[in-house]
Amino acid sequence: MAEKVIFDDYLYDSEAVDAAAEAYGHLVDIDVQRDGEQITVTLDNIPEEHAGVLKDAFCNHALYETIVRFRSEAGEGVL
Amino acid sequence: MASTGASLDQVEVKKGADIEAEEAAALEEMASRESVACAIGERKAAFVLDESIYKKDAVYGTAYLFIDRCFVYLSRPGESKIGVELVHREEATEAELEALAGEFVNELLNQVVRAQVGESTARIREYYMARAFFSTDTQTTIDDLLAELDDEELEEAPLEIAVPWEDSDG
Repeated sequence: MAEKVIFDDYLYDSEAVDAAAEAYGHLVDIDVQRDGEQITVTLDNIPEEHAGVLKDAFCNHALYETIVRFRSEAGEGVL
Repeated sequence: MASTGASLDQVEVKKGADIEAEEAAALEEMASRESVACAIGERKAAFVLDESIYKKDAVYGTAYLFIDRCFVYLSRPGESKIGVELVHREEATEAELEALAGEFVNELLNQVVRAQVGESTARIREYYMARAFFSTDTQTTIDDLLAELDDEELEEAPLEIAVPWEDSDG
């Protein structure tokens, strides 16, 4: 079973998506493709026990990594 | 005498009735304005924000606070628009999803106001920091205090060892 997520690079840092892919790489097959402003992530061979949440959890992780990087560049703390 | 720029007769005095009419017009305008429309789906609440009001920074700040509570996904449905999708971690009723979206938007407003206050008070904060760290007055005060403490200690010391023997012998 495969799921596809499209991230806009204005809202999601490209490195953050890579970091999320690395973090989830042991659970699922992940393919990251970049096309213009879009970062397309395909999650394949999702284990059944994680089928309901894995895509959403991956999106959360990518957003978390993005926010941390954004705040770090802005010279602020996370909160 | 120097002119103050405007004489009293130029000042427009608004009467109570005029103010009430203006307030009513403002409220009517606010009521007619489109609020954040929220679409509710299965475990999901989605809405689109206008980036001219809700900056990306504020959306990030709010999303960070909600990441523990729900799944957050951001999209860009159009120029200057940010789409927000909140997915509840468990089954949720429509009312719960609406409440979640409402809390998100409230926090978003909080973040916007916080950023605006931060911007508007940035100069005065910088001024106070500069004054606290670089003011010579402060250093003088600290030097004075240290000198005062030294004097007190010498007064208490019966042998006044700190006084050079040349001075004490005259």
